[in-house]
Amino acid sequence: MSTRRVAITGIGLVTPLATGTRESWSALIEGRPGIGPLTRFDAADFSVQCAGQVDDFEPERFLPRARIRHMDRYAQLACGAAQLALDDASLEAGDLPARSAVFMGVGLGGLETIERNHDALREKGPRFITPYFIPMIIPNMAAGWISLIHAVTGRSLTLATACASGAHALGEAFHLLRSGSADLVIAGGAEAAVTPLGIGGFAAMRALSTRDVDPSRASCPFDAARDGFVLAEGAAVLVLEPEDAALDRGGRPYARLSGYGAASDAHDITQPDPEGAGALAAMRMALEDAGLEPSCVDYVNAHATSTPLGDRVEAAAIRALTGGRPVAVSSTKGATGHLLGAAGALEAALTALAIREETIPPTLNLEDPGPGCDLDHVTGGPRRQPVRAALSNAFGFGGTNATLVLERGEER
Amino acid sequence: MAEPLKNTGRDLQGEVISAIAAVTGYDESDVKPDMLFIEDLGCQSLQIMEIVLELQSVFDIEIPDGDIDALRSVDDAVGYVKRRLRE
Repeated sequence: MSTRRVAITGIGLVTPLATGTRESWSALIEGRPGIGPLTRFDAADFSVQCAGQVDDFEPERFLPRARIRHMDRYAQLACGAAQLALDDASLEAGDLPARSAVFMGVGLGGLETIERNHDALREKGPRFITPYFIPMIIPNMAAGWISLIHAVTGRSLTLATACASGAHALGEAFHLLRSGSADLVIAGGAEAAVTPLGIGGFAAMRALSTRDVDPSRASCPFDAARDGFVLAEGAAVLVLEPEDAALDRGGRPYARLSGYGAASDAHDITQPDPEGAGALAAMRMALEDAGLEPSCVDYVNAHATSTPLGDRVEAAAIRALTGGRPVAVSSTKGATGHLLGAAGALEAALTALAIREETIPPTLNLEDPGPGCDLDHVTGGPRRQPVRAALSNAFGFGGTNATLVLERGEER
Repeated sequence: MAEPLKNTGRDLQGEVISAIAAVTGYDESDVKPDMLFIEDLGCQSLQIMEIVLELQSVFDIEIPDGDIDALRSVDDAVGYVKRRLRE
């Protein structure tokens, strides 16, 4: 195995908590939820009435007007997050190494554009489909636009592994960098599925929370009252570089990305393996990839989406991994909702911030852990604690599982 | 239904410019009648198709594919719309 270390040198977050990395982190630590009433469309007929919307996102802040109209919202959010990440890494246009790449995770793609154009097709006819329809809906246009805007000429790839997309994108980018085949990767995830078909589709699966509570309390991972996830939108983009090169140019990395595991349940298209076999395999593989023992892990950022089965199975897998040793666990989805293809990237970013800030974010709305969900939960507020190594989990429909290992990196 | 267009005093040039501005992202005051779509407004091929779509929508006309190549400037578009609305 190569010893090339990979550092996270920039983070850009466009989340329901806020547009902005520092702003999102502050909201999370201060317990200000990102979930509210569903207002992006008229949802009067829907059983679901809450969502994690990025209401403060102004595309004009990041993009010229002529481009905005040729991008689905998911790509706009991605481009905003990418700009924030590069700014955060103190990289300007022209600073990127020749062997730079873009890896993005997108679960669905341009759903809003599909719906609008289907409406135009039905109501007015095929001549009214925008010529930008195809380049707006294809899921690789987050990576495509980031490459175009920032003149990245290396590989531009998109991973579509549903709710694990962002984590797989980071993991594959990490392996590419570690192998020495690239010198910088802009990697993350983006999603904008708070639309009638997005909400309606997940609601039809009975996957979303419909209980009659204040929207900000609907997402309650691991809690006995949990009844489904809250659909959210947003983007998270990270700048990954070889640690030596990052330190040489005076960067101050958040953390080191040191391990990646990917495994499949081979059990069901949407339900997790009842024993959490795939999740456990991904976590073990990631630790082995990092050369760490489970005893090194101080924090697990769980995938836990607030669904009855998924959270319980993940809790069992975490207990099996640690052998009962208490390890701090939280699911930041209590505050953010579930960003689907962006979730894994957002949560890896929040885990990197937890390492840098020595502060573990809490699981918002977790008051009474449900049966089978016993863990060392961080609740009621953040926990001040140094984190040497942490896991970030992301699991997706199709039985796909990804785990990332993040560690405190070298400082100079 | 669209109103009869003769003698309505409709500012067709203004409406075409407005449609082109909406598609290209320019301010209406920056779009001049003699401007060429590609050379002056920096349009790419899909943007020209988008302008065609917008003109079809605004003026409720169908623009056949064979007519599109002749639409190279703002003036071309204004003249074309005028002609089609007279038909």
